[in-house]
Amino acid sequence: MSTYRVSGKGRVNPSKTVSFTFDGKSYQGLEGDTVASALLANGTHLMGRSFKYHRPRGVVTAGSEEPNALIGTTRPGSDGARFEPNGRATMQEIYEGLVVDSQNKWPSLSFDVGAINDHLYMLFSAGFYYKTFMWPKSFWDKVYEPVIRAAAGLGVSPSKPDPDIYASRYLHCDVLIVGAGPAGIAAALQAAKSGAQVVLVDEQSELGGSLLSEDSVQIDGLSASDWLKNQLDALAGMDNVRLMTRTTAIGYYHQNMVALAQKLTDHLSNIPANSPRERMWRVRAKQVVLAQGAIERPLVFDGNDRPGVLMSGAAQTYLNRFGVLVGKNPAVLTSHDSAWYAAFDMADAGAKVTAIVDTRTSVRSDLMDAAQERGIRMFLGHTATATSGRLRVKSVRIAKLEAGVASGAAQSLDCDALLMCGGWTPSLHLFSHTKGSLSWDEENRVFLPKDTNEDCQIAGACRGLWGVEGVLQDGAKAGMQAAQALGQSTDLSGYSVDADRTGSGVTHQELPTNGNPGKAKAFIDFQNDVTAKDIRLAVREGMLSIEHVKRYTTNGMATDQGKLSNMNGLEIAANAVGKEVPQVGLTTFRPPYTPTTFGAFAGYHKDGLFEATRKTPIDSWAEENGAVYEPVSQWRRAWYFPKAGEDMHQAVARECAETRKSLGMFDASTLGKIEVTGPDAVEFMNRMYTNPWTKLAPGRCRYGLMLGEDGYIMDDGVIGRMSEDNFHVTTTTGGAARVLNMMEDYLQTEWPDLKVWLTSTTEQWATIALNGPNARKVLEPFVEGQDMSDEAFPHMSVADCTVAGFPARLFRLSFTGELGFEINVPARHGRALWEALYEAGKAYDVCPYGTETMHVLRAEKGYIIVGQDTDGTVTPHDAGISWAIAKKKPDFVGMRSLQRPDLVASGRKHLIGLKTKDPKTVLEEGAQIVNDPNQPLPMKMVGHVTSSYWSPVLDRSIAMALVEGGHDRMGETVYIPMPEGVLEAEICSYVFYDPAGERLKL
Amino acid sequence: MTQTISNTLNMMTKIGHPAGSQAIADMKGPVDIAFNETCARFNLRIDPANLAKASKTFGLDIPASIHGYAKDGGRSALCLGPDDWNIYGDEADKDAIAKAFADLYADAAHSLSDISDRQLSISLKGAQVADLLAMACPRDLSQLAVGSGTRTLFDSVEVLLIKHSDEHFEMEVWRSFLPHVWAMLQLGNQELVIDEVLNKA
Repeated sequence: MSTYRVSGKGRVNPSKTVSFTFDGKSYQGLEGDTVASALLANGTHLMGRSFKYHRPRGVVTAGSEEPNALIGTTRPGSDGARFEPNGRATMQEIYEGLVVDSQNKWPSLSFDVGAINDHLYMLFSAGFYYKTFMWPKSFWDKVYEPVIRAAAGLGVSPSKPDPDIYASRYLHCDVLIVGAGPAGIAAALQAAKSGAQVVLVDEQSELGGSLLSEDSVQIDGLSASDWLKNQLDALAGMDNVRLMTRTTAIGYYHQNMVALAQKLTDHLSNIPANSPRERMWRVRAKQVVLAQGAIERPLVFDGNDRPGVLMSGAAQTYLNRFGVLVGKNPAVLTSHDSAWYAAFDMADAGAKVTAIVDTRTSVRSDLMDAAQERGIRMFLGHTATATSGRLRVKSVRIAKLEAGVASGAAQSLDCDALLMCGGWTPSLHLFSHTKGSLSWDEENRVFLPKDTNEDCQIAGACRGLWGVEGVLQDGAKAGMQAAQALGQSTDLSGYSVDADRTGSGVTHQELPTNGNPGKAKAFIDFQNDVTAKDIRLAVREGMLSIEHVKRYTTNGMATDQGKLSNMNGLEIAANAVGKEVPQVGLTTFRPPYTPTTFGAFAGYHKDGLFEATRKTPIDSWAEENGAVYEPVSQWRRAWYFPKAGEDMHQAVARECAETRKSLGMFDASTLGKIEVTGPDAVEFMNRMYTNPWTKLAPGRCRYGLMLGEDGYIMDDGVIGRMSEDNFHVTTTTGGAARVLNMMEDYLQTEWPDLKVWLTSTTEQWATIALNGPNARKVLEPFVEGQDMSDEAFPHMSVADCTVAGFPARLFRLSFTGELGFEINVPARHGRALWEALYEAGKAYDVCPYGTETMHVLRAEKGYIIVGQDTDGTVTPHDAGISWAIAKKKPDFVGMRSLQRPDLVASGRKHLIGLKTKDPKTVLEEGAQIVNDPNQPLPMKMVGHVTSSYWSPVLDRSIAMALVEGGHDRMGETVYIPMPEGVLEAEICSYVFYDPAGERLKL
Repeated sequence: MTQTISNTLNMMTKIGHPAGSQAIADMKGPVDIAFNETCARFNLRIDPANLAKASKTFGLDIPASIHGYAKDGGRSALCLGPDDWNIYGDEADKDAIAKAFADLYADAAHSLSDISDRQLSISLKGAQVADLLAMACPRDLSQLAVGSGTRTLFDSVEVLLIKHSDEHFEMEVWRSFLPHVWAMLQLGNQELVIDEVLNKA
């Protein structure tokens, strides 16, 4: 079929053709292909346009480090909803119908208008954000940034909601091995033999790592592929081994917690219904073995980003794993032995290798002999100075090196692909996530892992080893060390490898050139379009720290995370600064190792499962009766109950009026409730709350005020004394857990001697508040076991009794200023009681009301809401509720702090009432208050509005505010500057309605 | 469970993206997920020195160490903290249990709070129950001994787990968190089936 496919080579399935489209054109690949290998099989190298300069770019690698071949993919039949930008063509497996589009091009990949940026290099050089576009300032937001963002960028964000399901799971194991190349597999075999629970993961669709690309080596007398199959079959047959493909270890966190992002369905043409697309595994491993391998380092020379120029190891992978020749007349440019083997494999598969150009003057004789045998020309001690070709490399220009300087006549080598190798960089990403320290290997000019605080082994090429045999031995050793750390011992397995491909090499900064270095486009970071001269420019402009160089040039930023660019950038920066590499240092590798979808991170937490939404036992009645809801901490609460045609304002006004006139009912089930029991319960209450509790008789209740250690108001609620040794505490809805935790904290750490115990009963009870002059008339017939008369059951009473046949805790209290009761019944009976009271209440025009009406009614009475009228810096005195502080108690939480100089100072912000000059104007909550609206800007703000409502019963607006020295400023006018104009208001008492409390006396 | 109770639980009927939401009732999987019968449930807090008296009062040897669980006939107890237990009995015995402990109070002070309605109990049975719980429980439940229990988290919701056997767990969840946990369990159960399909694909 395609002219670049080599029959008999690779692990793809030649009998199964797969069709997909790329930029609208149909292509055929084979089962097992990636988008990249399938396109290469069709002779296509051009796969993208670059980030800033829109330069045509081809695939550079065969793995997840790919910087250029970034694609948008769309799953067929999803109406565009299953579109994802910035995928890597090297990782995306093809399946029937897959739709692939290139990115960052207009109008087309082969002709892109944005490539004009390539000629505007000076505008886009290092730090261009900071210097070119500073003036005029106003242009930044409206012109420069939008234009730059449109011109420079990668894929576009999806515009439709993601319909996919994402899963997550925890996993505990003895040994987690990251990377299933020879080191990882040997480690897994060794650890598994000891009986340990082993998990072996790899980001590729197949396990095997480099062995998938190196079939010529013989392991224990078998070809690499046969050996691999045997070992993987053995591992798969063990109960204590879990093998995971398409699974990337994206982050290594404290105490051996490793996050794995597993792709479940991105490779399938037919997805099972309701299947999750990805799963995030949170693995807690007793031992981790890192066997991530090494990443091949590009060579830096003018034109090294031309399509067709790619890593030699990638060419080897495309040939041996996918059966694809990346070119028929490739040239090789290298400073490392490994590329020689790539050349040999290509030649043996039928390619005519133009030449091997090596920067070194001497190379191992066996390699030279092997090249000779294949008739490959060799240019030792040569450099590359340029490439040619518009959308695909046509030739490479080379020159002889004399004492490290390019000299002599240049010659041009024709080629249709250029395989480069600048050495190999051990992959230290996950190791660095552990904050492990690194050591500099001067001989090989690489950083190697040194120490880590985690229980972690590191094996194979990611600690600088080379050659299959050495890596296998090292993997086995790491597996044994992991097992030994778990207290299990095994015999160390040995491996013998024939035809091993060991090797070494040298590293470079920019390759020496006899061209004009100022014009050279020698790329270091392909993805971010950073060139060698950008790094030197950054250093010239004063960026001496590698962290500054990184940010100024964007080298190694974003998804690359330095995989290809870091070491070249560092070598060049160190040279420019005139220091050694270790003195310049390495930038930080951050998780995730490769780009990870938001969906994988979010997991199940979307739509209805976004977070737990707590609902009361009465919630369903509210829903059936048209309630509008508001969130209150984790709860959803009925906000108001609009009748047909009512807006919120009208509904709330009606609910307020009907409650004050006759009867309202309210679902108060969300209030926190804590049972405080024991012989020392009253002592405990005296210490936790500001109020005195000793003389509160059983059967009575009292408003309780709780402070933090700092003396500021923390919570409040009505507390009933059920018996001598038992209190029923209520807390605010949002404060329930916080208050219980603080109580337990004091009890366990400060007062373990107190015989008192706490239990949360928030959800044990459903709580219904009845308020209004007719509240008793409705309730009384339902009550058994309690005389409901005012004499027998006065305001602030509590009783255990029976209501509507249900066991109940009945409170007489009021948060509205009307005659009020709160009935607590076991939660399962909440809705039944509500319905019974509602039916009976119809005779009194009962009005169910929501949280908004509750807020208005309490504000009319000047009852504070902790968290709304207080903000964690308000003392009881500030809030005007010093009356709630016991005068004779020896101590309570916060008591000492109340004596601090700044808490007794004058001029603190006090909670006061505000009446607007125009009674129809309702202030905005949060609005700032000033004393003089005519003062120059910036004005001194003396406070802010905390609560503000329309009061139906007063037929005017009311507000509460925190204002400096407010208690001493009654009757004074303050000003509230708003966008529409300055508002005037008078400071007043915040008890607006029935200040004498006459309405409670029924 | 009675209609009255289910009427107050606000269970979700479907989840997922509005365009492709799925009815929870349609989610099937290898783990049998069901509500347990309601029971009399108390939180008992007492000085461990008085535990023997509490055991005698309750008619069951209440386990003294955290994670300890005991069951005999209709009575069971789970130790949650040094002085913190949940004790369980038949619903019909609720008043009798409360009365017995009230009688103990003068001799051995303690707190016995009725939490029969605070939470509900779910039974999880099946060979893959541990995999199901692993979707949202960060603990290594293989380390929890059969016949013991623990307070832990499930998708950030505090739950109790009792391990009756490797294939039978009991989970208690506060009622307002129950709809979320229930939906998660159903979704995860379905996922176990899909895993099998994907493994074969």
